Amino acid sequence: MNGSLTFLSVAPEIALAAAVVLLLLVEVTFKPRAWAWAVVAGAGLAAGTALSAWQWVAHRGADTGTFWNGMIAVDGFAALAGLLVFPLAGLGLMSAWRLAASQGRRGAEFIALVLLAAAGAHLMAAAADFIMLFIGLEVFSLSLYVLAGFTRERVDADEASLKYFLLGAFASAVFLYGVALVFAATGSTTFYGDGGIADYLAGTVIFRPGVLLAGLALLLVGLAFKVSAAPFHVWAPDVYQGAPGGVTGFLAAAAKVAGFAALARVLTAVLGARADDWVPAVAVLAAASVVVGTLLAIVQDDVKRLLAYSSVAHAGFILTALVAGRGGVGDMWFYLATYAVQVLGAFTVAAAVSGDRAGRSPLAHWAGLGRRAPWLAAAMTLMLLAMAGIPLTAGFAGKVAVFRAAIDAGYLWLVIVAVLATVAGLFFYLRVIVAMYLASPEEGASLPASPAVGWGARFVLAVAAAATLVFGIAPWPLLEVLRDALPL
Amino acid sequence: MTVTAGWYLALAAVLFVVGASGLLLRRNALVMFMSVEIMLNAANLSFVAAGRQLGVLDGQAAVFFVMVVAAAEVVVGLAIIVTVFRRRATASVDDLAGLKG
Amino acid sequence: MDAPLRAAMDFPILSVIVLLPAVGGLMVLALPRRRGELVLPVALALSLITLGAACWLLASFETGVAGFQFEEQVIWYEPWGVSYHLGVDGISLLMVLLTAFLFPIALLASTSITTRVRGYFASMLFLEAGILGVFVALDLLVFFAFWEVMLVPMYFIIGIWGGERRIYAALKFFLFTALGSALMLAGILALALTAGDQLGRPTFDFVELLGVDLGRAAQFWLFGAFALSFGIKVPVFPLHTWLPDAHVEAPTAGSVILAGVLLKMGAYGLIRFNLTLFPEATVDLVPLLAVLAVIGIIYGAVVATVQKDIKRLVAYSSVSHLGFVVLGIFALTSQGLQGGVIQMVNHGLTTGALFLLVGMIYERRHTRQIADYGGLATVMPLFAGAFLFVSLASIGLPPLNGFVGEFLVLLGSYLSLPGYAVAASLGVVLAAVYLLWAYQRMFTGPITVEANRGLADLGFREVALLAPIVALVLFLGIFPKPALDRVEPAVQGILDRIEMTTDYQVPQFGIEADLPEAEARP
Repeated sequence: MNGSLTFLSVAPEIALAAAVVLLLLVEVTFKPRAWAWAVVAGAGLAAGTALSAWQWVAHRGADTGTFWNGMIAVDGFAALAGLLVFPLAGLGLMSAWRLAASQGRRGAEFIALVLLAAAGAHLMAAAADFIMLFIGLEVFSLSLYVLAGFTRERVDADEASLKYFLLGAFASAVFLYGVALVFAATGSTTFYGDGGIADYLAGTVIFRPGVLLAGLALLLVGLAFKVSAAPFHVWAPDVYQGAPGGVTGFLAAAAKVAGFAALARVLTAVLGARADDWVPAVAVLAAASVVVGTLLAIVQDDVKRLLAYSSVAHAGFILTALVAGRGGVGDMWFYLATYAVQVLGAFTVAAAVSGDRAGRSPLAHWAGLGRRAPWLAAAMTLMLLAMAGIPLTAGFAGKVAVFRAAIDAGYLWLVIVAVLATVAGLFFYLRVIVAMYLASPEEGASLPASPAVGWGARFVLAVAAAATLVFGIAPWPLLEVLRDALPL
Repeated sequence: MTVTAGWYLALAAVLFVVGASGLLLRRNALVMFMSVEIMLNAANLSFVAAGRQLGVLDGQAAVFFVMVVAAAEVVVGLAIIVTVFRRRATASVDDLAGLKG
Repeated sequence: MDAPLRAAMDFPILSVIVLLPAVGGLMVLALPRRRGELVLPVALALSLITLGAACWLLASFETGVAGFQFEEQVIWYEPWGVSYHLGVDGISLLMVLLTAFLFPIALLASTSITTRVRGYFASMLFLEAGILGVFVALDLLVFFAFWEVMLVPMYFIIGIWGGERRIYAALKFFLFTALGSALMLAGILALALTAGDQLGRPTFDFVELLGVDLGRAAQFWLFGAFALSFGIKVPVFPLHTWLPDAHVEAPTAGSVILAGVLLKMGAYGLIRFNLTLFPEATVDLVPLLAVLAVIGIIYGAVVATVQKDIKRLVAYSSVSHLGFVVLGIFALTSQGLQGGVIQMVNHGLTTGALFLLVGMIYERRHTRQIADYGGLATVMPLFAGAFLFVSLASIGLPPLNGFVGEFLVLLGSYLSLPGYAVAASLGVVLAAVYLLWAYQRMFTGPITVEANRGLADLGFREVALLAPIVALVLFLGIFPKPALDRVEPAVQGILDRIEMTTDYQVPQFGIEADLPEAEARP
């Protein structure tokens, strides 16, 4: 397939890139005007979403293909990633709007970085070649490194940024070396088509199996870093805690979506023929993540740090879906989409409680929030209950979906580990709820000024709450749709 | 003894290990960053050697992409390191211990 | 199924019963902050309408018919085999009635709640909706959803409006229950997928699952996963440690609901799911559960005897009484199972009433120590009379309701597990000891503490709270037949299924055991 469709295959990225350029032009040409930024960013994201929607309609299920010499895949998987990532970036911007608007001219740069990250994330999901995947990964990661340290006036932020950068660059290098080894073994970096890696792996004769195996292992380690699966999670707590409150939500949500999109395509489409080799490893990674994330979350006294470790556990839950291979991809998307919204909502509340520039959010800030800001507390409670997997929230439906997939694949032990971790997880989610409703602020404790919530953040919370409830009570339509979001 | 592609791949592996251990063991942010660059170049060397051996150009092409990306990474990375250094007058990551759980 | 499909059954009465309290909860939350005085009337009205609907359910229930009635089924998600499937048989009918009956009383007993009133009444109503859902759900995933979601309002009720150590108690309650239910979730998923291997598609539907042959080993593990969850809720002996804390720290209405209804969910689950879905494992594990039940009966009674805190005493008496229920269930005889179900209702009424009484005296004196009272009968004759009446019902004195249940349980377990029955009857004696001794210390003799001299007797509201319970206690004691008639077919169905799928024979009088006619059914 080629011809006129060629440029349409990367149209979402082009739209986003155009918006970034326009945004920076607007910024140098006119006085800083937040509304002008909003229009440009909104237009870019809307165009990206619309193009993804068009790709979804035209290319889900059938009529999929690769373009640019097998560099870019157009399929339901990539289209869905766009439908998820671009609105998520929009919500992330709304959540961080007060922060962006308070940065003067730099606000435009902030928005541009978010848009670039979104474009990179989509590229990761759509890449059909390891070099393309690497480029998407770097566009995405480099934007996030800068976002994590965006508030230069605060000490924690640059520490978070440096740690994120060093460990992230390390992971990228590991990933790239893995790609190089795979290339050395197979002579290709492309996923699909004649002579592609998937094709090669489906064959019976494997040239240099040791090099190939080492390459695949390194490559998966690199991606596991990005999704903060244990034991490659060490960066997450420091980054989540140190990054400015307004940014953390987008950072956490987008990193999971992009990382898992790449991981799922590599595992199920490229390595699909060798599932017996990688499924046990993914199962162990999943079990390690839920256990490590849950146990370490229990001892945290900072809500953002707690959510970081909980995100490690959630990485494990999402990996649980992938042990079912292709059959679990729809379940993975469901969990990923609902979790991304929940974590964005939770960090939006955290930003309101502790300030959207502040990094830390100790539990003491949350004491008595149920009285001071009942709506914020209610929203946070809903997000926490959803992450804990209480029924009638999307979190429960997601857990059932991934557990079902894993049991179906014969991994009952993994599900038992995961449900036990779910119970232990209740412990720390409840700690936050206890602080909000059952504890009163300590005498003389210096609380941040009364929580201030902008309209953007309110909208984000409304969307997050609605999505969590709707997909908790009736998850079926979404599950049904996501079954089509399979990689080529 | 002829120098075959295998030797280049082995050298790349050594470089990768040197880079990885440098990142994990050294404590100066700049040196750690240089280690990352060594790791990237190990990958580059593997790409070129394997591409030459297999008689395909994809390896060399990949290296160009990697070099561009690495340059972008240097821009961002050095900026972050300089910011940290200006505030604290140190580039040792041991002094960055504000964030703990 | 052969239940006649009357026109009335097309009306989704069960959904309405479950939704009414939830709607009430939303209404309470929607009330403006200034109109605090409207909260109790609205909440009470909705719970009374629910009770009315439950009574209508009772009136149109077809007695003597086995199987489920008022069934509603809507397919939710074909690929998973999940459907919104509700239905009641005689057992769940009684549980629904008990729940609908106790909630208005509990709400009316909550006038001492003064902080965050809207949140409290909304939590209570959501709790009611969740509990009713548990009793009517016939799809395992729907059942689990109700089972788990009901934890949240209960957690808040204990944690926000409870006593001094409320946070600890609420957390312990939540984590214990969640631990059990998490394993049950894994069990439910494994069960549905095992069924899928046989039927060609997974199913969570209880009725469909009855037709699946699981094999011995799978039954064993699944039984364990379910029984752990239900056993924590009941609570069965070594899993009971959350109960005293939760009961003592919960506000009065919370304790009433906890003891009156929540514990029944565990026993109900054992009957509904363990006995029917895993019959072979049930028969194999009878000795284990019977031992735990008897230990629970005696341990609960002994510990209750030495309590200095009257609320704790009542809490431990629950452990003992629920032991009877479990023993009756796992006697696997018609009498035992019927007795167990009746005993569930009885315990809900009497222990609910005891917690109400304890709450009433606590509101007056703000102490629960037995030693702080003494000779109360002279200043509070009505209160003393009510306490004695309920205690006697709880002990199992004929012709009060406790007698029927305990007698049937002992009779049923004597048939299949004679040794255990003898040991369990010790629990009846001990119940008389701890309750009457507590009565003696609190109510008889001269007044020992000056502060008690001016205590007011029960007011009109308090009498109105207790009167329906007292009436029902008497009614079920003298005339248990209506209740038994509705339970009998359901129980028989369960036992038939066990006999059909295993080589277990339900012992009956005159066949296995050669006992004199005089001891036959009451």
